[in-house]
Amino acid sequence: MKGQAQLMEYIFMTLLIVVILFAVIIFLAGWQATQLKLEKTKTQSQYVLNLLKLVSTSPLFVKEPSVYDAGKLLALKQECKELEKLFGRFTLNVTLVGQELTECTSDTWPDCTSWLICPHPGNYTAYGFPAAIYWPAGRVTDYGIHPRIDLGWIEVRWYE
Amino acid sequence: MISIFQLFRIIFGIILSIFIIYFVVSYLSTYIGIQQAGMQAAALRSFSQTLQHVYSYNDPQPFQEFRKARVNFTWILIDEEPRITVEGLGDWNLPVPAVIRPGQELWLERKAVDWGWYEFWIVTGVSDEFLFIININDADSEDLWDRIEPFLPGNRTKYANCNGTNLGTASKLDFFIPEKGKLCELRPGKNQALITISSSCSPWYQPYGLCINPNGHAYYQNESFTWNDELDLIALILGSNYQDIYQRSQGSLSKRLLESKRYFFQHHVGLAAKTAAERARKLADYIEDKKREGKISPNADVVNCIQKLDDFADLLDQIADGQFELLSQTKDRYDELVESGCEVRE
Repeated sequence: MKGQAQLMEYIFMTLLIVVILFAVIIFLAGWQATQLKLEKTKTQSQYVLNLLKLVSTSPLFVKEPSVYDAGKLLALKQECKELEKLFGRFTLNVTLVGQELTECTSDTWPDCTSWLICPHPGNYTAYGFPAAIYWPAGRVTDYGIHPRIDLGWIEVRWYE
Repeated sequence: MISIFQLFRIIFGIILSIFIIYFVVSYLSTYIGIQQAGMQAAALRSFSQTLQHVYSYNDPQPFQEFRKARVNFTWILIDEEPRITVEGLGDWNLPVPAVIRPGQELWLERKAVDWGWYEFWIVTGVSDEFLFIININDADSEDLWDRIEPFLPGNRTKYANCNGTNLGTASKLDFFIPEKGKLCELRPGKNQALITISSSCSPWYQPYGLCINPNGHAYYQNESFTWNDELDLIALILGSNYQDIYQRSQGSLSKRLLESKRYFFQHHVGLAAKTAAERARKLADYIEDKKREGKISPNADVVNCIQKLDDFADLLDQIADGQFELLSQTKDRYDELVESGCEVRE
C-alpha cells in the first residue's frame, strides 16, 4: 500500500515537471512571436522612413534636398513600373499647402496643386513631411523664366 | 536486493532525464541558431540603412557590424539584378545603387557623376585598410589616373606604386603620387589588388591583377571588358583579386560589379532622362502658351528657349533609349540652357 502511494506520488511529480516544461516552451515561443511582431512593425516604420529620406534627396524627384521639382513629379506619374523596380511598391502623394486640390496632369500643369504618383489599393504604412515645391516656370516674362517655390506636404505610403 | 519501486524509479528517471536533456539541447540549438540568424538579419538591415544614409546625405561611414554578426556576404546577379547573398540567409536586394567589395569591415562612400540636369550617385565600398598597388606605365595612363582618382576609395585605403619587382611606400589617396614605372611583376597578397594602367594591356599581356588599357579595354584573368566611364573602372578595380564560389558560374567579382554598376546606371539615368525630357517639353509648351496668349513678346529672348528646350528633350530621349555615349553632350547643352536663361541651376 505504501509502495503504491510512493509510485503515485512519483508519477504526479513527473507529470508536474512535464507540465512546467511545456509551460516554459509555450511562454518562450509566445515571447518570441511577440518580439518578432514588434520587430516587424519597427522594420516597416524604418523602411518607410528610409524611403521618405531617399525620395527627399534623390535627384530623380528633387531639385535640391527636400525641394521637389514640379516638372519632374509630373513626368514621374507615368513611370510607376520603373519606380517600383528601383524603390519597391510605394505611393508618393504631394500636395501644396492651403490650396484647393487640383490633380496635376499634362492638361492642368502648371495650374495644379497635387500629384499622386503610383497609387495602389490596400493597406499601407505612411509618413508625411513638409517640403518645398519648385516650379521651374513660376512666371515667364520677356526677360526670362522665373522659378517659384511653394510650401507643400509630402506623404510616402508603403504597402506590405 | 532492490525493490520493484526502486527499479521503476531508476528506469523512469533515466527516461525522464533523456527526455529533458533532449528537449533542452534541441531547444537551445534551435534558439542559438535563431539568435545567430536574427543577428545576421539585423546586421543586413543595418547595412541597408547605412547604405541609404551614405547615398542620401553623402556622408561617408564605416560599417563593422558584419564582423560582430559574423556575416560573410558576396555579390551575385539574379536576372541581371544585383543582390548580396549570405549563406543560410538567402539573398537581399540593394536599396540604392552600390558597388561594394565584400568584407566584414567596410568603408562606404558616395561617388557622383554630374551632368547638370541630373546627378548619378553610387555608393562604393571596400574593406578597411585595403592596399591598391598601382602600376602606371605611360603618359596616356597618367591622364587616365587623373580621371579615375576622384572616384577611388579614400579613408584608410592605401595606395602604393609598383616598379618592376619593387613596391613603393603605401600612403593614403590624398598623399599618393603615382609614378611611372616598369610593368609590375608583383603578386598581390590578401587585402591587396594590383591595378596596372598601361597601353600594353592586352589579352596577351596580363599581370597578376586588373590591367586597364586607356583605349577603353580592360583585362582580368581570362576575362576582357570594355569600359565606358570612370565608374566602370571603379567597379572593375573594387572587384579585382577576389575569390568566391560564384566565380565559376557568374564570372569574377570585377565582372559582377561592372554589370551591377551598369544595371543601376541604365535604370537610374534612363529614368532621369525620360523625366527630364518630359519636363523640358512641358516648359517649352508653357512658354509657347504664354506667347500665344500675348503675355510675352514674340521677339523676346525667352521665345528662343522653346526650340532649345525641345532640342534638349530630343537629346534626352536618345539617352533614355540607351545611347549613353551622348551623355557628355547633355552637360554642354544644359550649360547653354542655363546661360541663355531657359533653365535655373540649383
